[in-house]
Amino acid sequence: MPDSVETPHEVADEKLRQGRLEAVFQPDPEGRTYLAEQYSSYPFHICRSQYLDKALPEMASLYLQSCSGGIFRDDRLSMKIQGKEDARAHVTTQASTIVHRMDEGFAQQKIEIVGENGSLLEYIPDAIILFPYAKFRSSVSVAAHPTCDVVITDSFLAHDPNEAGESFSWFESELVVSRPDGRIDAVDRFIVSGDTMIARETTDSARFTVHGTFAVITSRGEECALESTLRPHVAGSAGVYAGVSRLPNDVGYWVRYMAIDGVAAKNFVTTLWVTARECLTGNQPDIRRK
Amino acid sequence: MSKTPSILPALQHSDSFFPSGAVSFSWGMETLVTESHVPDAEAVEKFIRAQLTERWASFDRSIISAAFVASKDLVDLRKLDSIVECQTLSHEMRDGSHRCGLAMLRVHEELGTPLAKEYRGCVTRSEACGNLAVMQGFLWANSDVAKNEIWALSAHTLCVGILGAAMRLGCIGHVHSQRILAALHHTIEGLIQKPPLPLERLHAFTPVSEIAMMRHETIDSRLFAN
Repeated sequence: MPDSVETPHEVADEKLRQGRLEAVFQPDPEGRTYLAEQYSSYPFHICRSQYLDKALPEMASLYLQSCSGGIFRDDRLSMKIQGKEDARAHVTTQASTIVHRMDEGFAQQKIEIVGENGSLLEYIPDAIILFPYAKFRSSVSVAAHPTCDVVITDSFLAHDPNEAGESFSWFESELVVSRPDGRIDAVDRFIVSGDTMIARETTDSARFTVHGTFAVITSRGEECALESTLRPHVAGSAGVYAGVSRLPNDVGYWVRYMAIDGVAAKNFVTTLWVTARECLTGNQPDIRRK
Repeated sequence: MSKTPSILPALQHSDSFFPSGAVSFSWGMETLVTESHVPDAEAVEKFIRAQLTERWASFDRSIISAAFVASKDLVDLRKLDSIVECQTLSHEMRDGSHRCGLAMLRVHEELGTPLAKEYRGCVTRSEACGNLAVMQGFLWANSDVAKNEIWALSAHTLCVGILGAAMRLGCIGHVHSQRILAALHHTIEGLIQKPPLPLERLHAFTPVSEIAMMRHETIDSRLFAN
């Protein structure tokens, strides 16, 4: 069994490459959500808002793109996605995000999601792909008003392109769910090394190369039978071992899963997203093309 | 006669004879055995070692240490309880932690352990949850267990709890369980040589046991509470 990983503390350094993205969604007088404020610096690029849901035509859909081809050593990326009162927004990435090899230093990405009164925000990015010797810290914070619904997913997989038996150095992940007054309701923080991924808790779990979380932050879970509706999909999806449970402090529900490959993980997350949307709004979304 | 540190309080509180309620919990083992993910002694040892290195060492141990230090301060203990609550995401894991913690509190209240009655009052009034790791540090500190013994005591009770569940599930026998426990001593000794993590760095990566406890919530016939 490998030793626990000790990850470095952040230090101020002018060599660090800062990238920033901000997107603020707000409904117009007719109730159609639009991108009211936006800012992006390298490597981020924000596409135009699209309206892709027949059953929820007021929802803005936004694809985030990166011009850099992935995340590299010393990248310090940050994003803020905010839904103003009654906004409806779906944010996704165009493709998976590769975290490249780094022999020194590390990379970091911080994502802040703020949901105001009555808003529905979905942040459904593709998986993070960790290349050999990648060192990556990911932090996602969700500050949600009690009447706001936030659907979020986060997943990663180890990739060894040369099949040389190499893996990432470490991946530190944090998801913090808090209320507008700053009180923290739920924290999912883990640090994993490539060695730990190989060692595993059980022998047969070694076949699962993708790990992920799917969470629905909502106070309406019981009224829309979210847990019982998600459970059959969680119990019987091909190539996936997963469970669903209620989060602490009644802040919502979450699914932890492991999948045998990226395809199985993507299909699984799509099923969960479609199911959660139907529970929350009464209608299924249209699948996003990529 | 001057009072010298004694191992006897630690032996009392680590004994399965102590009515802690721990025999009702499998911490995911019941699902994993039922679903054939943990079929034999080798798999049991691997699973427990992962729980020690990837959760106990990086999470529980720091909480136990902090609760030991805060054992006379109910406000600080409640803050620690809240940290554990926020970072225990599976419902059955939280439920197991609450029930084991409360069972400890009840026994210690009857034994007259200082502040046990007051903290149980906090739990009854829903001002605190009584999570197990907090209760271990708090109640052992107030029961004269030496500070340098609490980590070994906590790790030992975790191992014995899961091994006991594996035995009752028919996965291993008595001799196997003792062999595994002895093999885990080296791992535990290595882990407790390092200083515990600060509270803001607590983390855990045990997805298999988390998922197993989530799946256990709806399992048809159950011997254990998680």
